[in-house]
Amino acid sequence: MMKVKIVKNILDANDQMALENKKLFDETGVVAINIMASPGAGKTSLILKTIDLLGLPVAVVEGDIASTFDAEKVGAKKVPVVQINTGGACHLDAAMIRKAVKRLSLKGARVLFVENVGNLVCPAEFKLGESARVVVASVPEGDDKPYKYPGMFSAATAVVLNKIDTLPVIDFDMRRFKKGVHAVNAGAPIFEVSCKTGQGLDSWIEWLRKLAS
Amino acid sequence: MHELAITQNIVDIALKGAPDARVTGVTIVIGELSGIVEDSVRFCFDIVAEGTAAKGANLTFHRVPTLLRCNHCAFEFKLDDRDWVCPQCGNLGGSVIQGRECYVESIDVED
Repeated sequence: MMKVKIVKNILDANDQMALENKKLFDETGVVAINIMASPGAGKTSLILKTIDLLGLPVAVVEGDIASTFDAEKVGAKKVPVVQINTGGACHLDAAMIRKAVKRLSLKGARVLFVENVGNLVCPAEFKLGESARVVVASVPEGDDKPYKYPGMFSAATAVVLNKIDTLPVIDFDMRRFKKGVHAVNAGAPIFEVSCKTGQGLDSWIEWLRKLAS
Repeated sequence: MHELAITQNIVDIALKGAPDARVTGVTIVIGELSGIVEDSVRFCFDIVAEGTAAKGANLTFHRVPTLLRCNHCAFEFKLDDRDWVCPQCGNLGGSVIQGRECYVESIDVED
């Protein structure tokens, strides 16, 4: 028997394809944003609100295990959208994005939002070719999420805390939440927003515009 | 949850490492933070490797603990169950310097 040294990243094939996607996005002049969250945190709501406020041409890839509800909502805004149904897979990967953008007109788009599958674990491991990873948390989920899902929160470029309009009726310790995010990810900006009332969205939009310029 | 895809990659990497030989063992390095479950990979491996030169290969896992560098005093410590609190200065928060590993280290090949 002979031992053969390999030392190859298990996700190498995905990482390579993510690099190719990134190259394509760069050439097209589009900035891809990977939006990750648990189910129901408000990923789609954030994308819909952002389309209204951003004032830049946007395209969207919607990832779900099943259904086309989200793509229909986004499509109603008259922006190019493609739905990926993973058929059970817990995350999007770079190959799915590559396939999806072939069906999408990126021409003229400045920002591509990729709504990942609702899951705070697996999507963190799979690069898609994005320029930024945004984790959406929400007040009703509780202030302990950064502590429970450090893999996800430590991989974030920015964190959006949604549903702050519910703060008066929910026991949510803002200090504890922020401390948790910065414990695992010292530099990440946190945007406190309500997609329902529009509160706080201005700083998020400003951050995005900077990223896209 | 995505161990089937992970295992497919492991088998592909192993087979590429020994194109004309039988693979009898695969050594995999997994960081604690990588979220990969050893038992699930073992379970998937038998299915994925069936009919390939890696069928029946012995899997060895090296688990790498999460190592953090304190954001406040730069002390390096193992995460264990301490919820990101530095044992040296008691402050919360650190940057990950080890624990995200996820690679095939080596394969054993039949002579």
